[in-house]
Amino acid sequence: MQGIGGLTGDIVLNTLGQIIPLIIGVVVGVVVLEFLLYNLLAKTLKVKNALAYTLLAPAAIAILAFMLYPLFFNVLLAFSDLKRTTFPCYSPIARGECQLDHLYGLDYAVKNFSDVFFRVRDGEIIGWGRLLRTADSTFPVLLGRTVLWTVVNVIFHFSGGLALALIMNQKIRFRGIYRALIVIPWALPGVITALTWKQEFHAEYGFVNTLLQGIGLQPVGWLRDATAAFVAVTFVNIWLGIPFYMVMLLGGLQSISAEYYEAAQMDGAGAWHRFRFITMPLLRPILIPAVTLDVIWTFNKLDLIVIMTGGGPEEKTNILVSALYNAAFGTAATQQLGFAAAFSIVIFFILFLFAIVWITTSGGLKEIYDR
Amino acid sequence: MKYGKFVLAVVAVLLAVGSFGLTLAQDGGTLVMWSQDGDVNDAVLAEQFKVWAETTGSAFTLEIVNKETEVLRNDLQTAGLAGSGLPDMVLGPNDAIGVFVDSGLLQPLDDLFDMSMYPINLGAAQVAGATYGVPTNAGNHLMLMYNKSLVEKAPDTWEELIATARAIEEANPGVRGFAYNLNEPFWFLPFVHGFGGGTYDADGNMVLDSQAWIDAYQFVQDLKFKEQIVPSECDYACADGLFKEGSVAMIINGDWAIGDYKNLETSPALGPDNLGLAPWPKLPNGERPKPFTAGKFISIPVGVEGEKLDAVVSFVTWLTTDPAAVTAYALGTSRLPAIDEVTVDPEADPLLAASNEALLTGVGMPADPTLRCMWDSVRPQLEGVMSNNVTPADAAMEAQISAEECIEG
Amino acid sequence: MSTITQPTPTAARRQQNGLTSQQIRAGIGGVIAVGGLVLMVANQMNVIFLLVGLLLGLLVWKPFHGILVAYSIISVYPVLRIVSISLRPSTGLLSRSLDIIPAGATLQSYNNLFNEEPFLQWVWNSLSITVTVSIIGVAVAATGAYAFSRWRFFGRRPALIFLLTTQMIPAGMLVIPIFVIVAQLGLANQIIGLVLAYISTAVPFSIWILKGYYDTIPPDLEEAAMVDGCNRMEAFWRIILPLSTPALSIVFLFNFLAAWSEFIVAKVILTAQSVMTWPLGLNQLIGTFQTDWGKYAAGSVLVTVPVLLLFMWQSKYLISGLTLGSVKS
Repeated sequence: MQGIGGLTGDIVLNTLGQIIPLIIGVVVGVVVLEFLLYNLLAKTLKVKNALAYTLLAPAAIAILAFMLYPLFFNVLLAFSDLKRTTFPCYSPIARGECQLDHLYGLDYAVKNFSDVFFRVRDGEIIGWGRLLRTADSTFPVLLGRTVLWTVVNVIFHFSGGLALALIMNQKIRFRGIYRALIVIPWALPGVITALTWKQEFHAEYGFVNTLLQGIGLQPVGWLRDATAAFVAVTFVNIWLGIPFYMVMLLGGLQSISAEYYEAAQMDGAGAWHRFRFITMPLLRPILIPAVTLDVIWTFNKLDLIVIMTGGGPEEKTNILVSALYNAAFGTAATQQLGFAAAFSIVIFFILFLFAIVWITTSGGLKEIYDR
Repeated sequence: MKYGKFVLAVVAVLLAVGSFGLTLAQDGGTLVMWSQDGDVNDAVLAEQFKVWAETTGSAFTLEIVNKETEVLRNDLQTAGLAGSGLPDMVLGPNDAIGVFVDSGLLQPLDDLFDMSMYPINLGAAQVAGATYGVPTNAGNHLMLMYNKSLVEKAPDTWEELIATARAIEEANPGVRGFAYNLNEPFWFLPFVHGFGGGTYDADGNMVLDSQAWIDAYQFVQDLKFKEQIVPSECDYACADGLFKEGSVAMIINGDWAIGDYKNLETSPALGPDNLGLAPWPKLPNGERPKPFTAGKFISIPVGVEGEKLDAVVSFVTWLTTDPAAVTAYALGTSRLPAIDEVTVDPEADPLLAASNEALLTGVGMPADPTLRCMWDSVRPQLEGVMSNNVTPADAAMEAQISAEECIEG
Repeated sequence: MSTITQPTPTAARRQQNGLTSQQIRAGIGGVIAVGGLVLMVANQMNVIFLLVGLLLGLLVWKPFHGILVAYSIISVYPVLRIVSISLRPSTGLLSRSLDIIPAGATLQSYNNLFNEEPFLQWVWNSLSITVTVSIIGVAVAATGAYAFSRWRFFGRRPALIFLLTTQMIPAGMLVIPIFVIVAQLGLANQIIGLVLAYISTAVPFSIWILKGYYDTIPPDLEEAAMVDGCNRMEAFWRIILPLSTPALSIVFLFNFLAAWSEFIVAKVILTAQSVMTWPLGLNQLIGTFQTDWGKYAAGSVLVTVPVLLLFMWQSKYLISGLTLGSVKS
């Protein structure tokens, strides 16, 4: 290997040769595009709000190309019969006979979506369909575990973050130091967090069991026993999420004017009353978006589970998204990409439904799009 | 004024796009190999490639990308779907070949190579009469590996192994007697074979709930919970790491790791003098557990053609049939050659001889694509058995149900 | 700023009473700490007892500090463990010791990392991808967010909801299609391919945050500038953007952090050794067929420390960034 750490001048130049033209190209491209588009919209077509559309165009193109098109592709896959044995039909280069008379169709979609929920044999439903290889990987079990996972995490994130924020909002010495230390889990790269905790929950060599044994307790087979493994990943995710809330809520607390509290104190309101009737309502504008984002992120927390437990042991620590990942890419991959695409759409809709219900009932995001 | 800016902008875009194109065009002259063989062995292969390039004067260079079994399979499939990004060679165990052939991602090799050169193992890479892989070595088999500074004589039965392990743990505080990759079915199948079972019955149906399977689940569960002779938690990395640093006396591992263990730099507690190899110890029924055997195979994905294909074929032919090359590769990776013409002198490398002895106790691993259903169905059940949450009988029954569903699709 | 503890008559009285209870608590806390010391001596100098004693003592003496210290330890200790493992000699990697500075501490793992792995190349690749994504992401989002903030155009509401919706897409859902697109553009295994894939995920969140910030800037400012003869874009360029520097830097930082440690998409798009990013490289170090935990830990320390410093240094900014648009000014 030449150069220390494998870095040579050639590599640096080569990379720069790729990214500098890219940056210049994008910036120049954006300017040219906006110029042309504005002329077209405002001068030729005389569209109202032409400048707004012009300004949005670059972002819209980026999102269309790499967000909407993949989503569309995914829907298309759900309408296909793509699996190991039909692979040559769909791949432009694979060799082999294609046995299918049509590549995409409603019949495939019906089968793919019903496979997510049911096990169908000869047109009859004979039970819940297995998404992976055990009876613990059926849709209702996974959904239940996902809800449990999300609720437990969000509750602990919120209460832990709020408690820390309330304490930190006091006039307390070393506040800056405490805050710097407490945000560390949030700042750690996710891969490193997951791999490190995986090692630390090792029954023989991790510090968790060493500590337990140090104070005279029995060691626990954290990643070997299904329940313990679920507790372990939940703990790590709580550890990860508390700093986010602490930071958000502390910012909110600090923006509440002291006058409110003084007035309340004049009226003889106790600490609980001040918390209940001043702090909480005034934190609401921060809390609602924070909880919304947290629910979405927790529900979709893939890397932590995949790296720490891989969904095991006995497939008992999977939530919906990790089951999807394992079904599409994992050791128990069924290699039915059509089915996996349908499964991912189902997950997406569950979350989407939640978001719609939550946003309309809480009204917390209203100001974000109404202002 | 406005026009001037516009022209300038267009020129800049063209320049940018042009330099884009240039960087893209730089590719070429490189053969890409996806390998599942591990870094130590890949390094030997890279050296061999250099020798080949020098002798033939080829301008090609080789880039080896190391991938885990599952990752390799997924990436090959994704690249196939995209229609580009496939490597020029794939090096891996034979059980993936069936899956890739089903997906139409490999080229048949019968017209490219003289297949009569490879009498051993060829069946392991054949699907529907065509051959899709060239063996680089024979083996890929699990065996008993021990540290000679801790173990005087390799145990011949599990009873002896347990006694030896206990004695070692008593005599050396902090050292474990025995460890292996507890939850991985590849390490479990040999027990099933030892108890007289297999994956398929005589008619080719998958049977995962026979008495042999139940006996095997019971045996490994007892090793852990009754005899308490294995660590409460141990995966590949754990057994491998402990063995290298001398903290465990005996492990079960495959021939791919021998090169690593012979190396004093990576394995300070072992090296050529302290590493001992032996066949699996005998079960109470007098049989030895039989590891799956085959070897590693080089396959050529679809889409490799022209000069690249010629170079690949020439290199692989040389690597696997040229006597000097085969010997060098076998000695470098401490694995057995796949062709009859070359045999390694036991005197020259006693470890290879011992590995060969263990190889003879194995059973061949089929390239059937449904084998995946067995691995996937057994893994969660084995995890349940090894945490004492599932009884051996239930594990066998559940695995059978799951495998049937898997095969039905 | 907070004035909850400003002395009012009641609070002052409580403080006077508190003095004695404070002393009592200090006394009890001290006793517990000494108890921990005694237990440690009684248990073969097991330091855990002393530490637990000290912590419990502090909890009784000054509960707030006790809680914060305890939580800080929980936050920091796992990180210190990585540092500790990176310093272990190769023969003692799998040790049960809890020491932060291990016995026989050595920098060998760092040495091995640089000599045996193309570590700097991984970091360089990550860095160039991350910086490019952050720059382009901010540039594209800055104008888009401005449109969302200042105009009520057709399709605005659904578009904003769609931006939130993008956060809900399961990661596994996009990996295959993104790879297929990138490969069809001929960009598989190219740094540019990954940059393009990341920009699309960076833009929606950036727009969200920036829009929130623009909302807090009164439109009067631009209107005043436009009266002075600027056109709308000049007003945006001269007035809004300079005022938004904090928000822009936060967005830059968020995009940077997200791309810096991304793993799942990178794993599919980049496979060649020469273009690997550090998460892929470090993951390779702990792959199934080789385990160099020491090298892995050394690499983790090296990639994490700059991010941590950046994060701590910018943490005030980050707080304001996340609460932008939620808190009315």
